[in-house]
Amino acid sequence: MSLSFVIPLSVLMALLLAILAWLSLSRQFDQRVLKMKEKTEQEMADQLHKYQDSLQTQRILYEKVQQRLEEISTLHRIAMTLNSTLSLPEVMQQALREMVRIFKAESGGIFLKDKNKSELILQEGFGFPKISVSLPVGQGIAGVVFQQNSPFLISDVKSERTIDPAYLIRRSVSSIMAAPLIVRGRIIGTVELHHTLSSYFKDEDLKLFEVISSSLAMAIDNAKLYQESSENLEKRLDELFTLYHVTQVVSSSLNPDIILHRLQNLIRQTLKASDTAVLLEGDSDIAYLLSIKEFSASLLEGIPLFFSDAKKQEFFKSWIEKNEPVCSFGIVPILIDRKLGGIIRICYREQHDFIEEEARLLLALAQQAGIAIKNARLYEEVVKEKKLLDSLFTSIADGVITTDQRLNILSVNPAVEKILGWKEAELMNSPFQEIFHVDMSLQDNEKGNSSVPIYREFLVKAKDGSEKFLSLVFSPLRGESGDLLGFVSVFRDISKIKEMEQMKSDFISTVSHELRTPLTSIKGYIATLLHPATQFDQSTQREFLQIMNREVDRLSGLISDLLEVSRIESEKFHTNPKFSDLMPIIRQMIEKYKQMHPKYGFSYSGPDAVELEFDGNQIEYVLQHLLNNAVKYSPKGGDVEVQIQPEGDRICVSIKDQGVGIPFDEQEKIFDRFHRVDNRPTRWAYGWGLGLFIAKKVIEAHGGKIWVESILGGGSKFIFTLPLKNGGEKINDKSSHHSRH
Amino acid sequence: MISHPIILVIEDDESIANLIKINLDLTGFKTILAGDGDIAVQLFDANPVSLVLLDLMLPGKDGWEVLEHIKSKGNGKIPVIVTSAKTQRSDFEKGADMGVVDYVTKPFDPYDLIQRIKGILS
Repeated sequence: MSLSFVIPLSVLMALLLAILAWLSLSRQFDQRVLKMKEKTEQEMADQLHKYQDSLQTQRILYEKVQQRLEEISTLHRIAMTLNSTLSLPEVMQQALREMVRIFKAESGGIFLKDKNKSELILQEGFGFPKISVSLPVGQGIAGVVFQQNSPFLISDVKSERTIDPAYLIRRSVSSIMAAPLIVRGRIIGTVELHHTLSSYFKDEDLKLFEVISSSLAMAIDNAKLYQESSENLEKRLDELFTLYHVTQVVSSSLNPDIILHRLQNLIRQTLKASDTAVLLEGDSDIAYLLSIKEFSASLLEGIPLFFSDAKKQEFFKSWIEKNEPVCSFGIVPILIDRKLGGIIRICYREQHDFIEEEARLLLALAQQAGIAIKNARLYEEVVKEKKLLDSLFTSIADGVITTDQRLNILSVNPAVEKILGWKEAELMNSPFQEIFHVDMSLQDNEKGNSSVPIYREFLVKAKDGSEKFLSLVFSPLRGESGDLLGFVSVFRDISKIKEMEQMKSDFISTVSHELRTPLTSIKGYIATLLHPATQFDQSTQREFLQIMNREVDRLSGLISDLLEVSRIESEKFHTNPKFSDLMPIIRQMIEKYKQMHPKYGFSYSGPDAVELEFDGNQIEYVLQHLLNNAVKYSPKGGDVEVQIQPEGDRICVSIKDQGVGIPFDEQEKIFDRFHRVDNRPTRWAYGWGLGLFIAKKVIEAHGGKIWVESILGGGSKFIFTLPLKNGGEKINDKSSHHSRH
Repeated sequence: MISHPIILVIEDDESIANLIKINLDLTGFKTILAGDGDIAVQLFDANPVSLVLLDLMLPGKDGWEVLEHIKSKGNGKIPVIVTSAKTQRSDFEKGADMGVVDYVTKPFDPYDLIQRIKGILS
């Protein structure tokens, strides 16, 4: 609009000037005309003057409008610039550049007050090389502006005495315009613009500069706030990340040593410490800390201790001397089940001020460490327990079989194979009853609520076909909530016990029988003699008495055997060896048997004398028993040969008969207690089942051995040895052979 | 005892066998002795035995086998008295099952045994 107004005016003015020129040239006009001309000239001059005045006013107005427009657009641009970013350096850089452009300055700078110190630091510079400038409050332009908290102009730096902007003078700056940066009444820094021309900046500039400065201050504050909050956010993220790492570390292993080692490394890396240690209860350093009253109370309650300058702490002096040059210390207790289970020690060689975030992080780490240690310990216990259970399962001599609810076998221990011969793989998943052929069908109450185990004793066929007597306990296997998981069977091979029971029962009946037989004779003959209706002549009476005498001897022999066995069993059995010649005993024994059993051909061969240590009564018993057996088991008579032969460091005595013999599989068993050869097919004699057991014990007590060589139907040869000890034995080598024939 | 009944005494212990024989002879019975089961069966088959005294633990055929043989002959009516040192209930029951008329456990009073024999034969 202003332009359309300007153009016609200038055209009009040009016309007027042309008319005036023309009028002055034509002087020949008359007076009237002249007067009119003068009047007109005057009027026109007035008009022109007026017009010129109005033109001036208009121009001024126009310029002002222009200026305002420019200011508004400048402010708008500045506002746009300041709002375009939240990065503090960018805000400052762009704002300064814009301000320099607006005010056509040559250089400029933004100073911000340091958080902790009362110094202003150049944050952003324009138009001069990057330098580091820091001014104390009250010094330099920025310092003075800051102190005075008001903007000002300097037309010529050189004339200003109070201010010494050395860095500016060097660059021949003359004009300076500076303003404080104020946000919500608080001054945060200053901004200044420079020019080499003196009196370059005007008062009007200062006003706009002040307005822009306050916008800048707001933007800087916003950017700072943003920076701080994003820094905080980052820190929290870091913490979370660290904690996440810790959780990973903690769950990465169940070995406490590995966990602690990894944790140590993680803490050191995260907190950039020079050294960290995770110490567990019992460590001497912990004991030392707890011995200090001031520390123990905090640590036991889980409160961490931080020392920025550890050297000042009397307690650490000796530790630091012994260990490493540490400046700052952190000790964070690790609580396990609310008790002090260890500590995290974090050391810095340089001075380190522990901040709240670090303390928080360390406490969180300590908590995690506590959980990790506890878990690891629990795991260790569980593993230990499991190993114990496993070894129990594998070592136990009883067979253990677990089944599911439908009695399919789930697991068997090695004893099962030992007892029954079936390998684990052969039994897995096969039905329990298929192996045991025993009815385990449970009553409803056994299936349901009751946990009462079932006992069974039964015969089962092992893999090799042999029969085993098992004693089995069958119990329901229940989960924590009492639900039925399956069944567990524990069984024991009681074949041997059953055999022994049978042998004992047989033995009792044998003892009873063998005792009753002579008693029958004794009682019978006495009753017959005492019968009032009958009288016997003297020779008959004597015959009866002789029979009774013999039967009493038989009875007492049986009783002494029984006593001998009970002595052996109660371990009161001793030999009483004496050094003497064995041969006379053998000779006497042979003579006695020759007389007692004329049906048999007794003979012996051996050296004239064999001197050794032996218990005469006991060896006599053995010989007697072996000779008795030779007679007893040779019902048809025959030769009985006794041989005495020295063999190296022992003497070998053998008694050979031509009797019924002993089946091969019985040859070892006959020396067992209560064992008697099952002589059902021949039924020659009933033995005690004790004689050979006693003989074996006697010979073993002498340090010798006894065994039998026999063929069923082909006679038996019992051999025993006695050691020739001490070198004192004398053997007369002149062998002799004595025979009945 | 007009016809002198024959008693078969099956007993492997010589003393006891003689003791029984003495007492039976004194009472007027005719006694046949058998020292083992095989001989016992032969003697039982060869003689008109009125009653059998039977020991159970015998060489050769054992007492139960002999008893079985006796019960299988002559309608099984010939009475058998077991004279044994076996005193187990199972033996008594087995004897009763196999038709034994009496079971006398050793040691016994010979006079008492004779009374039992008389009682059975009368």
